[in-house]
Amino acid sequence: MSDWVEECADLWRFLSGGSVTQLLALLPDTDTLETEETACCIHLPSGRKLLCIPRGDRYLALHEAGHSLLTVGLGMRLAEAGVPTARRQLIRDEGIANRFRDAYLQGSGDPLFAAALAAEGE
Amino acid sequence: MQALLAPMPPKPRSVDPPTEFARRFRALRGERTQGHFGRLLEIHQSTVSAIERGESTPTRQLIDKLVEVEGVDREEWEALAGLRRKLTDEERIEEVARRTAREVMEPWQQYVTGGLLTEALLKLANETGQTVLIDPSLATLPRSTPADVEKILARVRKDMGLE
Repeated sequence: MSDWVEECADLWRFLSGGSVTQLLALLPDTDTLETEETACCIHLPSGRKLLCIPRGDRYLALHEAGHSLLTVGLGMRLAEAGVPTARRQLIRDEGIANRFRDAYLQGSGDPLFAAALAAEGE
Repeated sequence: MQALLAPMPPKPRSVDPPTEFARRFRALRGERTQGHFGRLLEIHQSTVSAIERGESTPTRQLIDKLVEVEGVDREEWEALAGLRRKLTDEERIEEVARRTAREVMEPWQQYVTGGLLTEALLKLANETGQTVLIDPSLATLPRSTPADVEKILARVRKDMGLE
């Protein structure tokens, strides 16, 4: 498997100094919105992106940052249109965002990463 | 003459080394005798021995017995025995989903047709004729609260020049 997602995460970790807050501030054409529960990345008609992130959830923030940088909401679009391959695209999009999140955390040696991995293994 | 009396070198054996299945099967037997293990699985002791040497091919019936008696994981042992049937497209997607984004294992349609946010965004897109693309975080989207939806819609409407 190509590691282009991981390379991207490495670059953005370097640019943001490993700070998720700084990363969100640096993302190009991207606004963030604090929510109660909802996490998603909306690609707006203007070309800007709106990251909806539950308050203080760095784990989801990184996932959504991955969407902002690397995916375009194609999975849902295809699903709305009833395209049979939509589900596969959704899985790809989610997988990419998860890989970005994991690579960013892994490289930063963040204890959150170990905790999240342990939680996923339960 | 001395050379003629020298022992013949042993003939190389043509038997394949034990397979991973054979090794795991042997490990599963543990301290039990081959006869005892064979009785549990309803196969002869010589069959147990042959399987452990990698000389006998495990059957689906044997896997069934291993699942029933020893509680092994069917998928794993079928794969070890090379008996795993070819997956359908749908099953393959599920398998990929398990490895990549476990959230997708939920009934996926609800994320597209259900959820307050998705419905509201679709309605807005239809009304305005503009395209709004969304990368949902699938595990959280169905839990969108009305307050979240209201807040998000306000921002989207602003971007569309509706407010």
